[in-house]
Amino acid sequence: MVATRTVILGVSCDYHDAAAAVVVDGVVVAAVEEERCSRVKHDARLPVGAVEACLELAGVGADQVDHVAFYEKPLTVLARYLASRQRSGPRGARSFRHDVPTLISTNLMVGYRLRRLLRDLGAGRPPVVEYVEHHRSHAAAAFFPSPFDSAAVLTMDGIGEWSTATVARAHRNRIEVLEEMRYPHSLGLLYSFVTAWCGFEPNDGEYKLMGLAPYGTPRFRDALDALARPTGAGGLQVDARRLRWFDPSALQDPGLAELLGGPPRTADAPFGEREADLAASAQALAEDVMLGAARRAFELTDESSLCMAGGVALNCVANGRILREGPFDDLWVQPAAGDGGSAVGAALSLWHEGLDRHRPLRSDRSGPDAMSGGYLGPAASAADVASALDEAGLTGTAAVDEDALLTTVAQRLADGEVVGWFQGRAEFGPRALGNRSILADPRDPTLRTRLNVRVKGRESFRPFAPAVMAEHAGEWFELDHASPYMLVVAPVRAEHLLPVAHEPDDVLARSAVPRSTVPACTHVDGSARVQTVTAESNPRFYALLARFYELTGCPMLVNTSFNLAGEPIVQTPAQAVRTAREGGMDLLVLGDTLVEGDDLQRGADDAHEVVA
Amino acid sequence: MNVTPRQGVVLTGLVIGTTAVARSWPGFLPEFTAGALAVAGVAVVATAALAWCARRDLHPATTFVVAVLAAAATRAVGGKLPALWVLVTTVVAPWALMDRPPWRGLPRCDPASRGPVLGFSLLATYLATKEGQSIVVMTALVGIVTLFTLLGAFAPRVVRGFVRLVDLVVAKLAGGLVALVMFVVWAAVALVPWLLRWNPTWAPADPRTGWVRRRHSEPEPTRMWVRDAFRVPLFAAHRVRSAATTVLGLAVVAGLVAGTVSLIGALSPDPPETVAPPMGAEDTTAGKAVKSSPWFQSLSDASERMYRESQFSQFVGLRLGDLRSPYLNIVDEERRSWVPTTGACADLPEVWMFGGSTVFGVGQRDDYTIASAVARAAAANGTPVRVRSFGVPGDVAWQENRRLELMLQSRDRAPDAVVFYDGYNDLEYTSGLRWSDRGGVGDPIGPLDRLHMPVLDKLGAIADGDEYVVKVPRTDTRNPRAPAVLGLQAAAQYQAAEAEAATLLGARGIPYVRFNQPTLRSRATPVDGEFEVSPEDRTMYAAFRSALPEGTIDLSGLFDGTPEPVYVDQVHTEEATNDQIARAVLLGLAQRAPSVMKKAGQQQCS
Ligand SMILES: [Fe+2]
Repeated sequence: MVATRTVILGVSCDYHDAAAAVVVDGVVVAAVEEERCSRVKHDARLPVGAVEACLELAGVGADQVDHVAFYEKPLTVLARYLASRQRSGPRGARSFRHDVPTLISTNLMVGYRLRRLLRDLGAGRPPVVEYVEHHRSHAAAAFFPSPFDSAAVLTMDGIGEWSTATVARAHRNRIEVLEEMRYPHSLGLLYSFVTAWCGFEPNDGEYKLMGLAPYGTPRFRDALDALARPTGAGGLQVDARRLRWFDPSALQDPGLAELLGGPPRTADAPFGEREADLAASAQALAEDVMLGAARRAFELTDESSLCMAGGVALNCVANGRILREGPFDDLWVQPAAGDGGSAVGAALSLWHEGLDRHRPLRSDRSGPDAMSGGYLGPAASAADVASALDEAGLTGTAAVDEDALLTTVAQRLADGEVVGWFQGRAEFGPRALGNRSILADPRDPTLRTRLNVRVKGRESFRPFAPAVMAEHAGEWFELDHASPYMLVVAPVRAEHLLPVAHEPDDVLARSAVPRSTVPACTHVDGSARVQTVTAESNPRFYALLARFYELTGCPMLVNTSFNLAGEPIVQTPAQAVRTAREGGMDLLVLGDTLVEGDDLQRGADDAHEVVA
Repeated sequence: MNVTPRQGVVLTGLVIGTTAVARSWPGFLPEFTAGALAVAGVAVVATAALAWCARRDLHPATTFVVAVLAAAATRAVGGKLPALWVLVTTVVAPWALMDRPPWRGLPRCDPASRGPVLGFSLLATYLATKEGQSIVVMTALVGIVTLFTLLGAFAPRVVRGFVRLVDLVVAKLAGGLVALVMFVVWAAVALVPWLLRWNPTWAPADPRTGWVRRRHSEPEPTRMWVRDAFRVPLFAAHRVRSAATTVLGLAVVAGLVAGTVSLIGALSPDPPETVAPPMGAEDTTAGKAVKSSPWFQSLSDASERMYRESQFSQFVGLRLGDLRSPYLNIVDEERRSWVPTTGACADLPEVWMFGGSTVFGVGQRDDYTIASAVARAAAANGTPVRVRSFGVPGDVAWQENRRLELMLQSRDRAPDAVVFYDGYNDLEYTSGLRWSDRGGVGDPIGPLDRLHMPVLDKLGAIADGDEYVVKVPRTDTRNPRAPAVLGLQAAAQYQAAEAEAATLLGARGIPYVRFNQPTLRSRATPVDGEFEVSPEDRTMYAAFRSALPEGTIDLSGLFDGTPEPVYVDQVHTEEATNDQIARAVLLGLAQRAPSVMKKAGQQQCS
């Protein structure tokens, strides 16, 4: 008898980032975020495209899906919503009338909608949808793919059902949730609130706030503490009467404006000292709370390793501090730490906990994790590349062999060119890890502004991240752990730092001052968000880094995600061509094919002529 | 919406079926079932035939054949209007609802017209169920449906514009309704707890660490909720408070709704109904006795059911439906009564009794009504008769005549004698003008409408005052006539009814007796434990009694020799009193219809 495979489809949607994942016999074989398919950033709708893509990647039909795991418990979400509206009284009437019909018709009906989706994809009798608690999904996504046999698990985000953070002990195929922080006490919501106050889009601009933080001094720390007092053990006591989550009018509160140095910044107003200081204060508070929570997790579990997930776990500065200052020997952060990654978590929780399936021992904790380097999305075939070029009216140059390709690209990078790098399977999670990346030489002091403004169209104060050959990471950064997912910030080693003669006052001027010999990826405080690359995790990318190292003696490249501002990361060659063209890249590498920047621009002009 | 021919056919069938079933709704239950089954059968056959035509892709003309056949069949079982309806829907609806034209060369109907066609179809269907619906309205609706079908085929833009407009209006209305409902829900779940300063998001965190301990950590993936979301180690006080808040919240909302409803009631222009004097009072000795009987509750429940399930007939007034219960049974509008069981008597002579609630036997069991008592007394005399009781609460003399006519027509066997036992209602309805704002001399129905206001309102709504005088315009003036005049007027009506009965029965050679029943008003001296009678009532009764129809046997003084309380109210008595009444009735019968007694005496019972 042939053993049948168990196919579990994990889904997250309806709040932030919708995503789907397929787990076959406990192995994560595919995971895709809906935004990559629908091209709507942070798309939270039912992940139709993502489910389709995942099933195709896994090579299973919709009728072969045995279980469907949803990443939260909708009924409790509704109950919490109602309870929170009770808190706001008459003020909540409008949002109540607006949200409740949606909650009932969308969230409560999610089981029906998912089954209908599967039916539309050809399933005769789709399985009944099963529900995994929100933070259990996060915890499962944090622990099950980790390289540990047992660990403490810390999950933190804006809000799940009631929990906003949990501490759990995980062992083999079980996760035991020990303590939780409950709504309205939420670090994630507080961080998003300050993000909104600084004029960034909440649930999207948190990275910007984190990037802005080193430019400021935490002079609003006391004010924030008055609104949300950290207990010292990772807890947070939010004054819910003043910080009214989900109430847009809270941003107009004059009392808050007085505390926070004035009313919120509007999106088009310039950055000031105030925003940088607010960011620094929020970041300091977040780091304190997260370090405290890590200590609490250690106290409760007595484990030596920590796994983390939840939107807050994307705060890589705090992660770096937990790694360096916290009580744990080892840290693993789910690369898709946000709600998208919960699609994976829900499916894994169902497999290990729901179906009580064995989890293989990972005795060598330095071994690879079960996220396949994060490369879980769809790949493009040579034919896809050819047809995309064809459609764009371009003819690429096929590289003679791998060696020639790497040499050419490394040389062009060393010459200061910006390269669009499109290889293999797409990454799952918010970071590009060398398959859908824009690469550049980190030694170039003008690169940051050039890349930020010209190519990516984003605020120029934001630093870029280095992708560094794993064995050289220690020489350049104060980092003795692998950081394959760019989720840990580490200081640049002192010998590579440059002295700064004059520190300008202005945020933008300060960001232009070179801080190290790799200025493009060194932040104003001399730190860098490091990705360590090994030959096992991504051979071609590693080989490119090695070739660049041979040429220049610098073992790293600037690695930023392949997208324009406000757009999701590219998924297909056609999207890559369009992005490279609009971003004015010097070279585009699609698999083995090289496309020159001049050709891209000429192609664009031709296209315009045709239109004219 | 793209309707395949098959779906179109099913929809058509649905319209036909709904029409038919709804049409037969107001009928009696067996009538309803039979009618519904018959017309549904027609619908099924027509639908199947249409489906068959569609599948074979036969010439569209076959549709017309099916339509005509279906209409003919519907005419037989459902009447003219449904038949017309079936004809039109089977011809027009397929055009509007299908993706093909009904005839080669005609354009396809625009899908936008499906909504109006279905909508007006259903409206017409609903109206077709209304009794007395004018053919003009129905035909107009059928015309509208046809118009929309034709517009859909030849001028689809007009239909689309219409549909857009309707959509807009409906969306606005629906939006408003949703907002209203949401407000009520919101008031219950959000506003009230907020007013009560209850914090539903409170959780018992460790004040030192800020963390809450989890009690359960089972995944339970089949559940849509987290088990301990509301069962964190809550303190008992918190739990009690949360329960109290919920209950209070619901109570406040219920109060709001109830208050609004009563406010609307208070503001509505209709003044409250004038209340009639009590019929079955508790104060009388006899009333207390009746109410304390062990069988009273069962009987009272059954009579309530009887009134609920009775029908109103314009011809005769109240028509009692069939009823089964321990003490009250009605079959074919006849209340069950005692039948002699002394062997199998071949052919008992039949005496039919007519009258109001006293003959019916309000507050009395089947086997102890006046009719039963008469039968028992006759059997004891050795002259067994079968007494059939057709008494109906509220009947006056002319109604009894109508009922008699009905029974003569519908029954196989004519009676050997008829007994009318009445007088109280005949006077009461005229005198009722003093406390009621309707009824009386000019009103053929009288105070009966108090019992049947819903029916009457419905009738009034249909007839709109043209065909039935059911509502006399309200005035606050009391009947200005003197009691003596009222009594004489009532007697005049009573006499007219008697004359009619004489003609009716005389023609058939059936002997009859009319009794003027004893009532509280006719008692010579007041008795403790009974109601008092006003001097006006006495005057009125004296006038009525002085002008009784010729030949009426007057039982006014029947209980004058009985010093114990007899009357439950103005007229009804206890079961035990019926024996005395029965003896008087039997005596009257022997005088006026000796042939019956003779026949009864000759009975050969084995
Ligand atoms: Fe989350």
